[in-house]
Amino acid sequence: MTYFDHAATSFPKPPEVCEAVLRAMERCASPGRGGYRESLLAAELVFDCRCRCAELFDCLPEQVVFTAGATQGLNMAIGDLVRRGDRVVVSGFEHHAVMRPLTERGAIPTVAGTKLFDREDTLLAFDRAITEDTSAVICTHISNVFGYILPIEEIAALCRRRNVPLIVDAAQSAGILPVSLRRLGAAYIAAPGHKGLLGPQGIGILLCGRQPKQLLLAGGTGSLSGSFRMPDFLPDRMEPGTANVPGIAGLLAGVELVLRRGTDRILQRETQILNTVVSALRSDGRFRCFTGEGQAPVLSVQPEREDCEHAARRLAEKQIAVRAGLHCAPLAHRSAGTADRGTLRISTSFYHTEEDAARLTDALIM
Amino acid sequence: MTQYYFTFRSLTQAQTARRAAERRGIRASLLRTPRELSAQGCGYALAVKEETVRGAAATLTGAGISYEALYRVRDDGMTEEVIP
Repeated sequence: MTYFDHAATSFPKPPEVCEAVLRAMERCASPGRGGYRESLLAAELVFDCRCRCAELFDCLPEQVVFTAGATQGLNMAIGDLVRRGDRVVVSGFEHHAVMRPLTERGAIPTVAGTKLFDREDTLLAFDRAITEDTSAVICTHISNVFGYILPIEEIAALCRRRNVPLIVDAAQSAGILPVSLRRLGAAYIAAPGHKGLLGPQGIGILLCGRQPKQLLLAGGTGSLSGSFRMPDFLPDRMEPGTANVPGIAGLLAGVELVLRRGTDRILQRETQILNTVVSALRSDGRFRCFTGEGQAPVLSVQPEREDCEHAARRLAEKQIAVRAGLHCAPLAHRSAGTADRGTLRISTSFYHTEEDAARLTDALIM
Repeated sequence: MTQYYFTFRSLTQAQTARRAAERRGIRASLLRTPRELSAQGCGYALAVKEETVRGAAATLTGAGISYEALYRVRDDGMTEEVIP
């Protein structure tokens, strides 16, 4: 299997991650519940992961809240900041993990910046769109469809100047680009543990720049048990229920790999492979490749004479994995003018080789 | 042997405190807060020896880590809250 769908999930997981998950299942009970060795072991592992995430994302350990994934994290963040009828500003490239909670909550989104790979236009659009009535800005860091890296630092600065809380969707950037909660001053940054951070599915993080008022979930936290209210401190306030200890163990192993390699090196390697793919497809001339300045290792293409789902099926029969369609981001397709046909999406990883790239393009081109 | 317990409202806080203490070479054990010392139920404490309690208190204060209370726990089980 030659896997080019890392924007969906990293696969296969590194051996260190698999081993960490298994070890946790064999040795760890639940943290924050007992005082016996297996509970304290679990607690130590969870704290280690919090600390390593805090190191990677430039925040305090207690600001790292574990979630089931970026979607849950975004729902928690939006749930805290957005009410029915609230006006919010979003980019033209948001995923359903942002748009659906906003729709279900009855928020009124203004879409700012629909020009693909045009950072200047995106920033100007956000500047125009944010008004006194804006309750929150929600912005993806990297488009999951096109790999467009939005000017998130500048948007964050704009939000700070205008005193508007910012929620960042770091689903595609965590583990690939530097992401600093402290520097961005964001209210929340949501990331999955299973994409660039290389962990298993079912774990994610929500970095909290503020104390949440409204909660999505409430339950036991192993703290202040005499009270019927949720604790008013992080991370407990946002972590009711039993921790996903095996998931956190896997995430810790993944984050340690990312910290050891460095995001610069990861981005450079993944981009190099992507450039090989783009070069081959462009030489063939029968593929529309969506590329631009400042692109992450995610590429959308449209075969000129083939339906993208058909092309993906053809590749799957050759044990090559890509994704086709709208990628849970119809807004992005609407912005780029690709909603009618969708796109074939190719996303690379640190582990890819030039041979993998050649195998993919040979199969696509034939 | 008399020990001192710093009590915390959350496990994460207790763990943060332990790391801070360990970085200063102060040994601290993490344990469940005895029920009699835990007004709101279910907390974690750091236990340190008498000779290191002042250093531990200074370390926590210096690092901005707040604790709920500090207790002296004697061998005979007597406990009393102390101000470092």
